[in-house]
Amino acid sequence: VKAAPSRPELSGTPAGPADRRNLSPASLYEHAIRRDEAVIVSTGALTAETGKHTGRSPKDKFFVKEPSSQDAIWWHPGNRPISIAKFDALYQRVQEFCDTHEVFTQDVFACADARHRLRVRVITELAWHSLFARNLFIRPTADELASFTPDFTVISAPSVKADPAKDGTRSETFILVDLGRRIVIIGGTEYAGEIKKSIFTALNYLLPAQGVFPMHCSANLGSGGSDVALFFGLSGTGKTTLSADPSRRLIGDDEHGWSETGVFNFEGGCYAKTIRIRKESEPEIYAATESFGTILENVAYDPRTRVPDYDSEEKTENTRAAYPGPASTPAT
Amino acid sequence: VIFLSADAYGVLPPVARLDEGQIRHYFLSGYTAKVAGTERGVTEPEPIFSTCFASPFLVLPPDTYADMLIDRVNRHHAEVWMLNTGWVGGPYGVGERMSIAHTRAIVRAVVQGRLHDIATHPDPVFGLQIPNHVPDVPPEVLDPRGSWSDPDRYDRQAIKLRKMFEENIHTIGKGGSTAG
Repeated sequence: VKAAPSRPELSGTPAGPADRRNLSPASLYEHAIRRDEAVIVSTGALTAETGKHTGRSPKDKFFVKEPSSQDAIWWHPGNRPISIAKFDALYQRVQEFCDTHEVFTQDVFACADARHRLRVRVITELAWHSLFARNLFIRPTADELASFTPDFTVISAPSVKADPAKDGTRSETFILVDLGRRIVIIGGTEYAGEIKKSIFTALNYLLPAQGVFPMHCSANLGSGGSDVALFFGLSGTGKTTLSADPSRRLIGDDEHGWSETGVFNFEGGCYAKTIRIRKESEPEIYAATESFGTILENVAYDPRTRVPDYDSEEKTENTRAAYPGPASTPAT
Repeated sequence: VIFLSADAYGVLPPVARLDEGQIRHYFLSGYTAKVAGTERGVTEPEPIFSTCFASPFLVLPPDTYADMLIDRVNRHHAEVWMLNTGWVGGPYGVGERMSIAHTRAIVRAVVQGRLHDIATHPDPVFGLQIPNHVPDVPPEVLDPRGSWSDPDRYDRQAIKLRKMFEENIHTIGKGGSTAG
């Protein structure tokens, strides 16, 4: 992993307008409703539908083939290259979109361990995506925001759609990762998990060079404060369920780093599955679904009473709740 | 360190301790199985392999991450256990879903270090070290072969799954699993 190169900026990385930067949950609720992106359900949560894409689009992800990272990247059918020229053309369209439309900005941190902290700017077309970023990542203090300069930028503009013939993508959906300029651009999909996993992908590249092992696992801590348990496993194997243990403190449920001094969460929130959730078996997640500020993604609800229906697979089986917490102290 | 696999073939042991070679093998495999419906309405298990349990998010070659895991496990004398949270006593449709209460008892025993000194015996197909005893778990649950009504069928299914692991290891970097 080499240092970021001096490839010239196209015309500066957008920052988003100041009046729509780091908005609070209440304010983002208002924007999301005014813009007809989402509705409030009976529990106080904000519910959004993502349309065609209700999950990740891994086949639409490309890495820019650029000098600083091309020798390090594991190129295989799951990590395909896109040229600098193709990226720059789509980036320019994304930037034009941001210049001519309302966009929302959240400045957040990834990595609870301050020594490995990544300052991430998330610019989104959708107000609820801005709330998603605020919920999922670590929220800086007011002082930290005052002096914030991003190390990495993610721009999510679902309305910008690629033309495969012209843009070199597989479909109109694209997730393009430029590890040299430290930018991810996302278009053609409203699935919020793409924002979360773009940062995880970036950390899988950046952290090994800092001596940190990035892991897709849940983690908890014993009452002694020094025995960490890590749970690796694919979807549906019990990663979230087994790490939620009343006798141990949850460090996080999805992404962690193992450094020289301990294990730390990359995130400051949870993106939990809610299909067929029951209060008795998943009390923490259920409580979150009843909190103001929580986003319910693709959860069905009664249009009249607005009561959510967690048993419904009407939109997808991959229904989710995105909410802040747990506390983001690293375990050393 | 705990690897979780929901083995719908019902052949992996509910809990086994991994040695260094097995840690690398099962980490690079990132195995689980899901129960998939077919067109004729038959549901049958389908294997899913996702390198380092994170294939769609890996940027560097998988050995980079596997080496980091082995390095930390060795330095901190961490134990690595693999748990089957899927089926026991037979495949999906024949066996039973592994009891969450038993899985929780196994996790509790592992994180409290209570399996540290317990003697183990190897399973015949995968060479995994199965503890002879786990507090609060009936011993017959721990032995996958014994929990099948037809041990010969177990052997055939287990050998089939072992072959799937071997084939997958050789195709890492050629496919590109989308599972995370």
